[in-house]
Amino acid sequence: MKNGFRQSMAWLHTWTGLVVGWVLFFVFVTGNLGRFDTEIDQWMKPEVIPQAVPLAQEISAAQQRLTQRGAGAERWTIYPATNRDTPYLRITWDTEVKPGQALKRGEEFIDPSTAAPLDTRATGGGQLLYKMHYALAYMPRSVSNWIIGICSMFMLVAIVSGVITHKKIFTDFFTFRPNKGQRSWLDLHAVLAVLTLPFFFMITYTGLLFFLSTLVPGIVGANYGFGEKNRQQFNDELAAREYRLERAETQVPLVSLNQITAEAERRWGEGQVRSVEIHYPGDQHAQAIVTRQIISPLRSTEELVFNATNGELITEQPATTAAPRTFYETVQGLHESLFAGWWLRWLYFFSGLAGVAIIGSGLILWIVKRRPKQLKQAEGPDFGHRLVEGLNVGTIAGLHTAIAAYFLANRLLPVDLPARNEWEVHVMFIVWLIALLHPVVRPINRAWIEQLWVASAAFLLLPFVNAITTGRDLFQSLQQGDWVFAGFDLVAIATAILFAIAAVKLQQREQQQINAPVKTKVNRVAQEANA
Amino acid sequence: MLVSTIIVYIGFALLALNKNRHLQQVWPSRELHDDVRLALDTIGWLLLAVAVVYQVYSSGFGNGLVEYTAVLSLSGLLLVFQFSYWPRSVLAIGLFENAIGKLSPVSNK
Repeated sequence: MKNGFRQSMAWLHTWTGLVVGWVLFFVFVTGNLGRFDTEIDQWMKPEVIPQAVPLAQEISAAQQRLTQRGAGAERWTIYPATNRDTPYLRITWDTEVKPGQALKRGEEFIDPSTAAPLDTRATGGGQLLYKMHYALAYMPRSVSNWIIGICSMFMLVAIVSGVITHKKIFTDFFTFRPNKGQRSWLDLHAVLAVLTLPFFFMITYTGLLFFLSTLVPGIVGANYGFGEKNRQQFNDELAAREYRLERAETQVPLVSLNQITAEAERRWGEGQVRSVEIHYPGDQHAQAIVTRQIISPLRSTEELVFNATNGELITEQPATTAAPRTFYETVQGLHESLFAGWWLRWLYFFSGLAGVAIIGSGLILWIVKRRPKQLKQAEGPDFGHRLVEGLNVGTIAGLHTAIAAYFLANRLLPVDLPARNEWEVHVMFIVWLIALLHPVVRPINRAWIEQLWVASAAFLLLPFVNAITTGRDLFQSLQQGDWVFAGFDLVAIATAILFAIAAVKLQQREQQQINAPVKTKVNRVAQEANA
Repeated sequence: MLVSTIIVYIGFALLALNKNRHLQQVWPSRELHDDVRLALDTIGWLLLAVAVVYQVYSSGFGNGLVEYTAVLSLSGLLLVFQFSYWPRSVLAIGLFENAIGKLSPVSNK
């Protein structure tokens, strides 16, 4: 700790940023890809091309399938393909395993013409990649919630202390001075952070709020008690769900759900149904709740509540009822950006990329600042210094290679491989592990250059492998206006070019260092003598 | 959003040109009169305000503010990299080169 307020904040910024930097880098990269999660889903399921079918057909197919799969479930949910977030008709069913515990969820994508599961390769898709940004991998949610929660808290501290540390926010508002070593890294770090500060702060703060019930369970627990049922009661009260009933324990068959969605469309207009949720299907007290499309940052929407045994409307719920819930649903909606159209979605994506660059440049700055002193040491850089450098290479370049490997695995693993979707993830993390170990055996400059080239090559490979394995090459996609596939290929190529530029720059610098005479005392004296 | 992007971009460009560092990236060895500085500042901030009103008016309060924030980041970053790598292009996109040249008593250092 240093004396003086600003120095203390600089110290805090440096160290809070460093210890969680690599986790946050992973979170930002995978979370940012989540802006296009359903587009990546479509790319990773190339066999099935989304088809527009009437809502009635989708609802009938879903009801037919749920009757088979979700008998005795507490709750069914149907997501018809009526918006960008749902390219394929999706159903879920939640079943009680043990009273008082969280429900167990089953999930399927359905072909609306056959009411059978979609016939496609087993893949985690874009959804799994996006889920990693808050659930990580290979660990239960109870662990990842704490890891991500604590990292988010550190991030928030780093943002606030970073703003305090930055002396010339307004003078340097538009300033980036390239090719000046440490100065350039600092400029880049600061200018990106200042210009995307509203986004950067929002995404961190709202991300932290997702873990409210994990990090501070007592707030609800003190008044409602702990456990799943009590939390459900709190949520119901907050959302003013007074219509909700207990099970009647008498069997009554469901009405045709089509009747219910048709009534919802009559009230709201065509294409406005976002989801249909059925509580206690098959019970006398079964209720169907229809939600509307999300069109603003407020994530909750108007709902129509129906009696699901006779199709009568019970009540119309407004989008929100209590101010705290409005606040919560709005900030969560801002984080998830489900309301965002194309233009805004891309801006979200670019802001996220800026976030990736802020974290990456911060990690590099730590090294750049300390490198001259470390290199002067007789026994070479300390272990800690080499560790940070190695983690930087393995994460900033290596994580990207690993993600490209995840996509390549989707195309190249045999379709009938058992646990194929899990192997996609294994491939990703094996590649990342290799990338993290690679700097141990290579000089650090070479490690950077090699890994940047590998990342570039891996992304450049994607459009080719895709074209060979699916026949949907870039030219065809562009001609047919298939923006999901064309966009994926173009972004992959752009990523490859960026990594290649970085690699070339590093090579040029290496060359200069070799050519430049070593600045020893003898040399300097010799040069001065020549002059 | 395109309209407010253009308005914010011009507003930011004016505010940036008000700073000597960026002015001289575009016009090396020139200085601006104090009146011109005041005008740049006023018009710059005014344009930023106009854009937020326009965006809220056209997209509603919640969506408008989100879009406006995104537009601020985009325009700002665009200017940053233009000033660093291709300063003359700042004026090529903004149409105010002539306007500033004629209205202001620009003095050579």
